Amino acid sequence: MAQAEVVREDTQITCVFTTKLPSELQVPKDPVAVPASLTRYGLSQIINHLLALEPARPFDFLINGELVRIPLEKFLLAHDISAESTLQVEYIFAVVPPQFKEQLPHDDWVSAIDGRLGLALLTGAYDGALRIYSGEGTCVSTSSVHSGPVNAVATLPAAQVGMAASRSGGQGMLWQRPVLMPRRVRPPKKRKAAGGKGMLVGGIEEPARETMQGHSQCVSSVSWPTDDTIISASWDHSVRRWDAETSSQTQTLNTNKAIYAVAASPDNDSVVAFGGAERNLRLWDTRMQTGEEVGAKAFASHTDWIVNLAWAPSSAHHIVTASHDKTLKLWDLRTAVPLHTMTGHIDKVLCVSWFGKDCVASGSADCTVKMYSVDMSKQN
Amino acid sequence: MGSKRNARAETKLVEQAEASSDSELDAEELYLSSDDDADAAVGPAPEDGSTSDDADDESEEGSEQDSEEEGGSLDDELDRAVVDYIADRGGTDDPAETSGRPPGEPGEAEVAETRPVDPGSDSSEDERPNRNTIGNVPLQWYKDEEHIGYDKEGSKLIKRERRDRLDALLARNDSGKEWRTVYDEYNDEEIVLSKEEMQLIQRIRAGQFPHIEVNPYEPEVDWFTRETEIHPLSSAPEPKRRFIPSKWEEKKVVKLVRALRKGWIKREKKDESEEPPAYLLWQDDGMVAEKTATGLSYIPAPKPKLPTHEESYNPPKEYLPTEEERAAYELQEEEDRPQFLPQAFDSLRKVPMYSNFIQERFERCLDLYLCPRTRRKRFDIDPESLVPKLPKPRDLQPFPSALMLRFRGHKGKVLSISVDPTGQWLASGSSDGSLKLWEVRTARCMHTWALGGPVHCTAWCPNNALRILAAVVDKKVVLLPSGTGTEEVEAAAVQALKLTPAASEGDSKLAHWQARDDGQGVDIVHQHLVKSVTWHGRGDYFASVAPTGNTQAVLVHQLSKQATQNPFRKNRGRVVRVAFHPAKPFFFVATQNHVRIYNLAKQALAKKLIAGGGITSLAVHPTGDHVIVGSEDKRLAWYDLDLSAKPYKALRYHTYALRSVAYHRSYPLFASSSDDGSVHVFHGMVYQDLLTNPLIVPVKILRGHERVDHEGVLDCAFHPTQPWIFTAGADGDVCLFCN
Repeated sequence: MAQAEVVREDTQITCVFTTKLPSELQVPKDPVAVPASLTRYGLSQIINHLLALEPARPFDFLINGELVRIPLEKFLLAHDISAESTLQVEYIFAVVPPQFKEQLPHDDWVSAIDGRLGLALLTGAYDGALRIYSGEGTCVSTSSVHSGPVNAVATLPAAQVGMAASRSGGQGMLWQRPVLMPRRVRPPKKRKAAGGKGMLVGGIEEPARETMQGHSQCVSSVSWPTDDTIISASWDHSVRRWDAETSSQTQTLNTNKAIYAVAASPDNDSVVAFGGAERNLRLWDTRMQTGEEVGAKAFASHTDWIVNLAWAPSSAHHIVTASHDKTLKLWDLRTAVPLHTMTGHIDKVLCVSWFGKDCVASGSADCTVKMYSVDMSKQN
Repeated sequence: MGSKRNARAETKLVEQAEASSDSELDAEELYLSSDDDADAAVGPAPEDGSTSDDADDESEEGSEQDSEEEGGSLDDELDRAVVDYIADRGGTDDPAETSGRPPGEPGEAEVAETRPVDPGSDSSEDERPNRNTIGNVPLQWYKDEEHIGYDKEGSKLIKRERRDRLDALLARNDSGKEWRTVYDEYNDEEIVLSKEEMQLIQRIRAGQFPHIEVNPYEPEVDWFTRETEIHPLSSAPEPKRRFIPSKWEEKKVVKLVRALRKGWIKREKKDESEEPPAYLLWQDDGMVAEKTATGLSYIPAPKPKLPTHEESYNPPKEYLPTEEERAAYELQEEEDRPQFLPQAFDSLRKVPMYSNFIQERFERCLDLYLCPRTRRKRFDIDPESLVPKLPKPRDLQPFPSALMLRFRGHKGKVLSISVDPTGQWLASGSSDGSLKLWEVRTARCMHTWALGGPVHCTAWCPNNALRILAAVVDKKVVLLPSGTGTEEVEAAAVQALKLTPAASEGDSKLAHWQARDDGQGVDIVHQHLVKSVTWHGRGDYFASVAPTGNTQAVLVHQLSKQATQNPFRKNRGRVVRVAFHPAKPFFFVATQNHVRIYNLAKQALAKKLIAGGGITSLAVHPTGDHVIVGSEDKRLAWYDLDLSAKPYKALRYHTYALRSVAYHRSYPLFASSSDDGSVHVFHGMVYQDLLTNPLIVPVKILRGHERVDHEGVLDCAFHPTQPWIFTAGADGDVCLFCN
């Protein structure tokens, strides 16, 4: 209440702008008094004015590690910060809204997509076809390798051309270079199975070397961020962390709804993002030993199931999610509201992947892959 | 006795004298004839004239003075006795003339001076005592004497000097009173009559009632009328019996006295030595006597609260409402206004009458008049407490609540759906003759079989190692490999569906097993139209229902042996649904009005549930102890098999006939779908404790389908592991509702 009285319309807040940007983009460290009613746009104008940038560039602002998305006075109220203290405001380049770049037509629903390495975009569709697109969006190759739908595809970081697809039958099919990541394996006793480590170097059609049991229902998604860590999510409402060396379960997070997508941060394998029937993107910091919900921060905006998500390769703060509500959303984890929403699909979005560092590709039930350019180059 | 007789004689005497005053002899004789007390009655006649003269002179002087001073006051103070006297005498108009003697002044004066008397009084005490004490003796006796009699002291009353005619004439002319002055011969006085007395006399002469205020002819009021009056009150005079002692009371007293004397009634002797113990005066206040002698119980009046400062006639200022408050009170509804507003007065005597007194008294009378004469025991029960305490739906999470996916593709009504044991696949049969296989996660149709007829029922084989789908088309039960498992599983399914020669060649009368035309799956051709199929929990046996099949209505098939058998020899009604008990060898058969439970091991009827109203669907709880039945009479009945053959709970929430009911396999949920296009989801918790009845709470109404041809949701099925429900609508869609 006292704060509310202090923060009036004409209140000035003293800010010190800091940045990690190059020196030509740094403003003097002198405190600047700004109106409390300013939003991100106003602050960005101030920085542009101070730097005398021509043309103007959008900036985003961080206070205590959180992005400013509301007027400063409300931000201060919400975070219980005194308006009389000098505010440390860090500014970064803002992510400009993604631009629709290209549409790649398919014959059937696109169920899986992967283009993390940036060299080629690999898509799998319900008609069993695998397609490879070059960076310019031209179809390099099409091959119908499965009789049934392709459920997942993955590119292998170690071998630049290595690719894999798995089918619903639970058996991986190899293509060009042997990589196997079976995604939906449902042995009779409802076990969780993830691809064995040895398969990376193994031969063709090798059976699973390790079986990790623990999930009571089907495993919907796995992520293998580092050599010795596997993260899995299942319809049994749990996210589990496994030690790949010993095939043992190390951590479990139980939620109350089925989980469809999980991905560990490329920077830090202990931060796991997951989404599912709950319709919220959640963040689980596995370093929190309690395993409670406190470790799972929720980001709510989607109106339907989140079926896929992908961390930005160039930023530890950005995630793109795909949902049945026909949209993709780009999140900055430093704020609870999504940065941008990518519309365009006319049916459920089924998969999403980064293609290189500045492009998001999504496959949908409307039989297209849409590519959006996202300028992430200036993000740390 | 003597005195009485004497008095009577005297009266007689007077009467005689009045009647004939002139006959002296008769009166004397009469007087003499009266007996022994004659001497006492007739006093001696003392002869003393000197003293009486003096007295006369004095009185004359005094009377003159008085008459001058007082004037007309005499008129008012005239004695009634005189009037009576005159009236008795015959009521002469002018007494002076009648008597023939001039009236004397002194008499008048004496009257005025000595006897101030209340003229209105009738009492003889107030009458002016006679100056003369001779009593009732004829005045003729003193006719020739100088005195007229004797005064109280016994001295003679000397006759006054008579006025001559001239003096009388002069007096008459001088004063207006003369004409109404009468002469009292007995006392030798002159009396001036008042106006009232004159009136009285005139009334008597006119033959009217003497007293002016008495009306002898008052209108009659009959107090005791035979007509029924509307008001019970009357101003009738109190009857005489109120003033006389009661005869019956007396009799009663006599009786009691007699009984006491004879010792029939014994009185306890009080021990007067002890003092009466102190007791609490208000102890029984607020307590109600259970019964009194009259049979009516005494209800004490409620005690008002003690007054506070506010109710003082001159309360402190802070208690007084301000003008604004008063204005605010005025604006309020009369019921909301405060009952009492403090007012200040300087002194207690300025406090006005309580303004609502009459109103409240009236209402109190009305209350008493209208109050029931019998005392009712009031139950002070909060109605809320009678409502069973049901938990709120939000506390009963999870349950399906939001439409998440819509499976589009069927061109006709979706008649039946079934979810595979893993929850990844959904099979739906439609009236357009197709059976579709859907991927649950994406609502993608993975496969479509054209079966050539409406698919009335479809069911997944619970055996996960086979992944076989059963569907009902016309007279056939079709077993299909779903193609959703791994290659080993698919191989096992194909192996299981590969017909043995015995089965394919055996010409059973019940059903014929034959391979499908496309080589995938098996047809089991029945004799009659099949409507539903149900698997046993192990996935080996399955039962088909052909309602028109009479004794062959229910057939049980065995997949492993590829054999068919008919468990019933007798037709007990049109069979609608059948179900296997999940654990025990029991078999549920729902006909239109009953659900029969057969023990397959003993081959006997175990229980018969009474439903009625046209059963359309049946579901067995995963524990097997409870059954829900949906019927055409919009009723969903929950049967607890341990309790009775009648429903434990009958839930009427739908507005049209029920189409299907379903239990969730792991969550405490059940649901019913109806032709009104809605699906009702209930929380149905079954406790391990046998003493606790199942808790049934409606939690959600799901609406996602449109009604087509008066048909709404034709089937519903729960997801085996998630709290989700699939619904099949007549509009051709299958909806998935999630929590």
